[in-house]
Amino acid sequence: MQSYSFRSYEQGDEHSINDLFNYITGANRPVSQYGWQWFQAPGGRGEIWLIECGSDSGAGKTLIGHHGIMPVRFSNGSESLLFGKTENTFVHPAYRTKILYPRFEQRFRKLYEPRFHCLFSTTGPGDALRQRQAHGYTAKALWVKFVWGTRPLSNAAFMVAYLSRKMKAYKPGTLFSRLAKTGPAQSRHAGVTVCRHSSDEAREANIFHQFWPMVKNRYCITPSRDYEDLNWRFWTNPNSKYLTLSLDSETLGSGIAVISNPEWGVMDIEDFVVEDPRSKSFGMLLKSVLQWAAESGAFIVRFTTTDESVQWIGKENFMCRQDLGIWRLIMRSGYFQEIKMPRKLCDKGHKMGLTDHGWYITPIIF
Amino acid sequence: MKVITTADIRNAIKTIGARVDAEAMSVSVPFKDMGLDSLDRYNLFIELEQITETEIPDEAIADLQTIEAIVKYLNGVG
Repeated sequence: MQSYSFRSYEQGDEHSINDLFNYITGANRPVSQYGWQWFQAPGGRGEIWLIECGSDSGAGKTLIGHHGIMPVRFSNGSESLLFGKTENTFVHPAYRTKILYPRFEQRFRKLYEPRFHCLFSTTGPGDALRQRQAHGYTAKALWVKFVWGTRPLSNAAFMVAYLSRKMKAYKPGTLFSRLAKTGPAQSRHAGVTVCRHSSDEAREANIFHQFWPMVKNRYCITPSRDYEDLNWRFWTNPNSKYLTLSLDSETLGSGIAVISNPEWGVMDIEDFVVEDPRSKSFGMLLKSVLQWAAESGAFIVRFTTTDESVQWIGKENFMCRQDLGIWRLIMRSGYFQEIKMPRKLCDKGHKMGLTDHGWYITPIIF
Repeated sequence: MKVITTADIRNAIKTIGARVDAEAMSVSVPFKDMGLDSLDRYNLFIELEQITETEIPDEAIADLQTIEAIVKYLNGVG
């Protein structure tokens, strides 16, 4: 008879966990990458929980499931918080009907929850959302994606390429990329200086040490952008390369933007914070990033946030994908699902009077 | 102890709000083939544990894939 047990991470487990992850997802994640993600975050070591199967024969135990929580540092004004992001929850396909996975997660959660102010997940379509709700997560915030064309035909060309799932159509020299580049790009808002930093340069720049301590009091619940957080999330991230922009204007204040995919003409703004988040400067500085992107060869710029943060951007300045009539038709057809961001306030968060809505969120990427 | 019937299991499936027609479910076809996913099964076992006031161990779950198997197990004849 098979028996099932669970335990927390022990040294050396990363090899079997990584093997199971690669087997289930078809990925080829090296163990070194696992180490960066789970052991080196400024919030501390990740919560790593294993489900094992043993047998009466006395043979060793086999890893059949994993559940992880990544510690992510947040702040709420001057308060420093520790949130946990669900990550790499999986069960070996042969055991999915043999065990009741949520039972195990319930047991893990009792043990790790006291460490955190709040738990959250970034993937909340259909079944994933039901799983989170079963563990007491609520899902009020909806992910919102802005897709901006930097030239007159960019948006239309992008939409066609996106719907046909042929993003490679954007490679230089294709019909799409030529169409998307047609017409003049907008010029930058006068008086905004945009400085571009490679990861190596960003690590050496003083502004990133000073920026977040100076402005965080003005923000509600949001991921921390202290130097250590930016360094880990972006500058030492082995998964992707980023460009970091520092923005400065006498009238609008300063800001930081982190950009990925700078090659193909489609840029993603992975993070964006400004000195005064609740003023007009938020939208104006964001516009400066778009204009910098246009000058740097991008014809599409994407920015993901949640609907609770959209008000800061200034709806009059930007149009998001959800606003487009064609997008509403697509959503109604069921072609894509709306994705929510499930959250669960823990006792520690409740005691501090935190709320599970009204945050400022940009893509939470590792 | 109360004898558990297939009707009790069907009622439990209705109570948990699974998106299946509990009355139309075969007693011998595995849940996964009848449209019950892992979360439905989890909720079903919580419900059954409450009804029977017994704890169903992890090791028993693998064999409890049909209404018939659960009825036999809960009545001690599995």
